[in-house]
Amino acid sequence: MMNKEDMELKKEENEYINDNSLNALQSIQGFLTKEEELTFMQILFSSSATIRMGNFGLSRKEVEKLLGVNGEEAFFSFLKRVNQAVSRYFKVIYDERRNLVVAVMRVPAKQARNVLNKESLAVLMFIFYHQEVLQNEYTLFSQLINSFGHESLQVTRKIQANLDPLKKIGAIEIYETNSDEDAYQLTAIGANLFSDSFLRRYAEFSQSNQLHMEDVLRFFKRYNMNGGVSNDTLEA
Amino acid sequence: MDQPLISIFNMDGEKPELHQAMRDMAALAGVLNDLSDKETFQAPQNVLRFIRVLNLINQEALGMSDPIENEDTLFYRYRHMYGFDEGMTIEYVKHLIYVLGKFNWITKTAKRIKMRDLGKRMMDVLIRLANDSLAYYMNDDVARSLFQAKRDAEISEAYDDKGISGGNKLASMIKNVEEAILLLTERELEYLADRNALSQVEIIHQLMKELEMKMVERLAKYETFDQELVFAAIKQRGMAAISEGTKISLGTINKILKFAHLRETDFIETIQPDLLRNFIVQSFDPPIGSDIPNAHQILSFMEQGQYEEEEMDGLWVPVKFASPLSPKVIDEGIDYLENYEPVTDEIEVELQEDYQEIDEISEDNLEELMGDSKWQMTKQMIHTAQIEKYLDEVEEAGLDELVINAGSDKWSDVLNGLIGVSALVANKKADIDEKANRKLQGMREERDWRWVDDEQGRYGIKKRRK
Repeated sequence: MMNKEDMELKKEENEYINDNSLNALQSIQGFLTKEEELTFMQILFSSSATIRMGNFGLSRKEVEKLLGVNGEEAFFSFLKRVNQAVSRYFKVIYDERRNLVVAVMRVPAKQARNVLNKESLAVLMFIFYHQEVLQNEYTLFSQLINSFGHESLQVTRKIQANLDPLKKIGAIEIYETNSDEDAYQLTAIGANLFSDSFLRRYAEFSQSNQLHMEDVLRFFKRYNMNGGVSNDTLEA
Repeated sequence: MDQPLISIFNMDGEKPELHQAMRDMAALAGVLNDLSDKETFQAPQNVLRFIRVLNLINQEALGMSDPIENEDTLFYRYRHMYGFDEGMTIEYVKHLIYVLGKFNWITKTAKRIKMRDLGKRMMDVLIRLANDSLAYYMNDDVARSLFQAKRDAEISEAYDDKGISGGNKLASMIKNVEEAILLLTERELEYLADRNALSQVEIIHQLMKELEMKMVERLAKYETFDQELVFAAIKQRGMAAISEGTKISLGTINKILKFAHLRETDFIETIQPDLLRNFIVQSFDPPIGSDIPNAHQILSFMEQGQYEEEEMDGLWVPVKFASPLSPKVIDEGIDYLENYEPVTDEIEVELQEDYQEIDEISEDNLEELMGDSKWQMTKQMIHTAQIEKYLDEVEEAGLDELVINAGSDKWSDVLNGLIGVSALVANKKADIDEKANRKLQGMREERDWRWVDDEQGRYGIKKRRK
């Protein structure tokens, strides 16, 4: 039987662990082999509720209410600290326009194939390039059709079908314009969906040459992603 | 080939030859059945033993070894040939010889064990069967179907061309190719994710090419003596399957080579946007056989982990975890499930007496309440609203300032104001501070009145806090 002192000690231990649970997550990589870590991430992914339109994320207000704070500084400080602690597996992003705080999870390359099909990924990559790199405010449906070629009915349907899943996971949303044509705008989720490594390999294949990560990130304007202020002087 | 193929399915059921053939099959079944009594065929090791013994007898029959005298000879020859085998006993050999004799595979005389014609044919079948299986299993999943397709072609050559039906070999071959293509498409991503897959894919591609040649050859052969419509459909299916298969395997090789080549290139610094844009469009749906990977195939290459940690850096996907349940809520839920009793009684309507709530008031509050009602009456007669409003705004004001700002500097208004202030003070709504010494308002010369003592105008009036 445990005596009182032991119990007290045990309790303290537990509290210590609880206090540091976020730190503990970060140090997991020290305890796990690469395979074990990948497995852990896959378990996390498989345990998550299915992603459906509008079924994820909290408004900034709700987050502030949960935290019991309000104000710019406290909110962003929270985001920054959480992201530092869990950065290997999660990223908490704030979509200002849609007023949504969303947790995105890093999915290993193997599982990532189950998230979106190859056509959807190509369409998203196009929108991503069109808006993040070329700095367009939105992408018109006709631009997608023209780029992906062939003016057959089937392509129109195919593009539409592949836009749907993107809308469902909130990577893009319909943008209100004066024209009668559908326009799409990348959301914060869409802007964060491609991992740095994926962008690098993608760019490498397109250029048929190897590339350094920093050049890739600069090209996709991710250079200052965590620095906050955007710095256009880096642009060539 | 003028004569129809010899096939048991085309034979009149009463023909003695057919009966004889079927009897052979029965003998084979009999041997296998009798041996299975002692769980012989439960373990692969036992089957192997059986076939090895058959092989020894067969070698003798072919004149490759000395005559076999009896079971002992066989037993020792086995030991000599295959080494010591714990499960191999003289009793087993005796039993085996007895069974083989019973089904006419061998003849056993006092001085000699001899393979008979039936035994020879049966054991040929068995050994070919086993070897075919062995070769089949020595290939990987995709190659297996291809191997089988190739065997189909070869068997068709060996049998059909000689006038004996090998079964529906052509259809079987096409089916096998189709299966291989299905598997190959499924496996392509795995091959791309495997650093060492190239040789494997090359083997598959090689098989695919050989098969293509064989298939063309076979199909041409059939065409000469069988021009049925059914065949045209099969032929088309076969050609489509094999050409798709070759393209896919070639595409996989191309992609692997492209990736390997990519990793040999120099690092460049600038990304050309037009190349990237083209690539995005191409990766939407690259043609089969090209070296352009689609998004999934790129993810597969990343699985190789050639760059540090790229295998865990696939995509960032929005997620929502189901919120955890507290133990209390779970307990409540369990309690509900375990103890819930539906109400079966009639619902009794309880009459609720309608009581009038009694207004009660404590002694302490009485004075306040009475004061309040008195004040309401006072307010009816004396106009204090302006003054109260002004005091609400400023909290504290000089008497002079208050009466003038709440009304005007006319004598009558000032008088009303003063009455109002006194009413407020009397009803404890405001206090007078005689020492406040606040400023008087300007323009005193133009007033049609003045303070008896200017000091009075300097009194401070302060609103009482509730």
